[in-house]
Amino acid sequence: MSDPKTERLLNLTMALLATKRYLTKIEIFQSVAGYKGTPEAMERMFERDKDDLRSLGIEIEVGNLDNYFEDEQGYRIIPDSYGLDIGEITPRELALLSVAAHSWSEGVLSKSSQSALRKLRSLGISIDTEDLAMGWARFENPQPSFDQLWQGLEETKTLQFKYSSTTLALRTVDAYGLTLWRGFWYLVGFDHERNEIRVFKLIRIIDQVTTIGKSGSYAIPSDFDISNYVTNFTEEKKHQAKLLIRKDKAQILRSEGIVAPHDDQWDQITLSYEYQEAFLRKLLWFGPDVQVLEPTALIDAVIGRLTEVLS
Amino acid sequence: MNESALDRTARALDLIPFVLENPGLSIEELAQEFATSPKEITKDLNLLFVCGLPGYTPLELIDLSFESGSVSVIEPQSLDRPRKLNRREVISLILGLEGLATLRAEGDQLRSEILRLRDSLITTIETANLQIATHEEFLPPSPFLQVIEEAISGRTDLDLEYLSGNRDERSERRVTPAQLYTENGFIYLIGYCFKSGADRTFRLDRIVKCARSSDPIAAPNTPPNDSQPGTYKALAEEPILEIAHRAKNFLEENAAVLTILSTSPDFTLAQISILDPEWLIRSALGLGGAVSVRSPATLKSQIRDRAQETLDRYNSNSV
Repeated sequence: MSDPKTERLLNLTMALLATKRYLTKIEIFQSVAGYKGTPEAMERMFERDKDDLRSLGIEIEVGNLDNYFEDEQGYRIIPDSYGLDIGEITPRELALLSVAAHSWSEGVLSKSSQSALRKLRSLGISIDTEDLAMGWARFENPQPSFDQLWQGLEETKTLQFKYSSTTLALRTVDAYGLTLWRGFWYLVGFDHERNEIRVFKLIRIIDQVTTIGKSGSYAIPSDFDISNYVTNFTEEKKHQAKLLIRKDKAQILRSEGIVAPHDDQWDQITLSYEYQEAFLRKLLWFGPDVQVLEPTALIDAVIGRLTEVLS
Repeated sequence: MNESALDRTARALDLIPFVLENPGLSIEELAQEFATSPKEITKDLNLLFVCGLPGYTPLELIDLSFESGSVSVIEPQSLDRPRKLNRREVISLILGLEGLATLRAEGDQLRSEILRLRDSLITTIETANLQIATHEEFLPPSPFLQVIEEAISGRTDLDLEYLSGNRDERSERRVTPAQLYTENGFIYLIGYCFKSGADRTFRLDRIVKCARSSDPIAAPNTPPNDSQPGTYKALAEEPILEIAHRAKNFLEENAAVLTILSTSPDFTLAQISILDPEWLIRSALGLGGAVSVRSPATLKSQIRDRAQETLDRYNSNSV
């Protein structure tokens, strides 16, 4: 049953765009196709239609009609506030925007950038990809959490989601910002239970994100800067390790450190690492082709992990 | 799928100015442009056909022609201009441009051009709270991004030195690069690999050397020597794993090949579909007790043997 409504919304938009002066509600009800019923019913219909058009980003200007009826309000859409005006765009810039619009693999970023591109291509500018030396790349936009988080962020509605950290727990968060860092998306927001700003990795959000607050249920602090939180994960101390690696083995490790011959079967390598957990997994990948010499803590961790596998 | 009146209204409003500037497309082509079905586009057009300005005589209605198979707008009435970009659309474009910029090194001319365009887009929206921010380290770092990107756009081949994880070997490959993509924090290159005689995916952090090939290469006349997974004999039985909650990284990284069978407070039981058992054996050692194989028994004992052999290095005084 969506068609009568769509038809009415289109007719209303067209009429309000075409008029040079404000149209009163009475004029709208009399002249725009689709308004029928009692005056109260039409009134309610019109209020909903206005909200719907606003949600599509269409600004309806309200103004006083003239001096005879000061309380009589009228409505119109100013063509310049409706229409796309992006200044000068060259065919080459349009080509770059086209590459950018196609760089999201999925999700709301892909959908939004492609609808932007359609609008830009409705401006009558030709697109010049001739000497644009730019390959195609696809960036990941995780689904569906990203869409839901962005929505919550735009409307400042408190969010709830299951988050897999040391434990799997339901978190209640006021979203402050989203960011992409080294190939992963992160949400930064105020965590109600922890009572502080926390960073959440989107890939660890399980199932759906739900909104629990109303629009505007919190305010993002004016001094909030997402980059302060993102750089925090990088300040991890570097550790040094010394290993034996079997000749011609552990190829991936060899490019990461300084390799010196040890004897006819083994080489020695010195390299640094950030996180013991990740490094441990990397070393054990090579099984008996790698042996840790230093530090002792790492040797203990290797032995501990292997014992665990055997138990 | 039943779409909302608002979605249809938005698309109909955008359809008129788009067709006005891009006349003669078929309904199928328009459906593709607007990421919907030909049926929906036909509905949109039928609807627009009866819309117009007050009066609604033929002179005031939108006039379209679409019966001959190609769509054009004869009279758009007041819908001749595209709508302005909304905030989401601008932000999506900005982020896309930033992504492209990171494929190019500092000081590259195309990079500066992209960033200038981004800056001019930023001025069109309120930026007091952009809400979505990218970082200089948008992508995981790789020294080869620019050379690969240039090879894709310049249609030249690449000579790679590549580390294969499962087999623990280093190989040289000539690749015709096609596309870069990101997934789970890694950047991948897809391209035709001459050595394998097929399209292959390469993880950028496993590329040791990468250079644009100067000499053209003839198509390989020897049968391809495939040294990547795909030639392994499939496992007779798909392994079933117990994945403890602390091994969440393992679950995330392998979500695509795991089928969750059940979850309990202690662990997730999942079936994994893999081509090469070697991969699972190697991973299992690093994961310790967090991921253990429940079946098949042969794989279980292979993992134990490998763990024992590794542990023996520390028990014997072999250093």
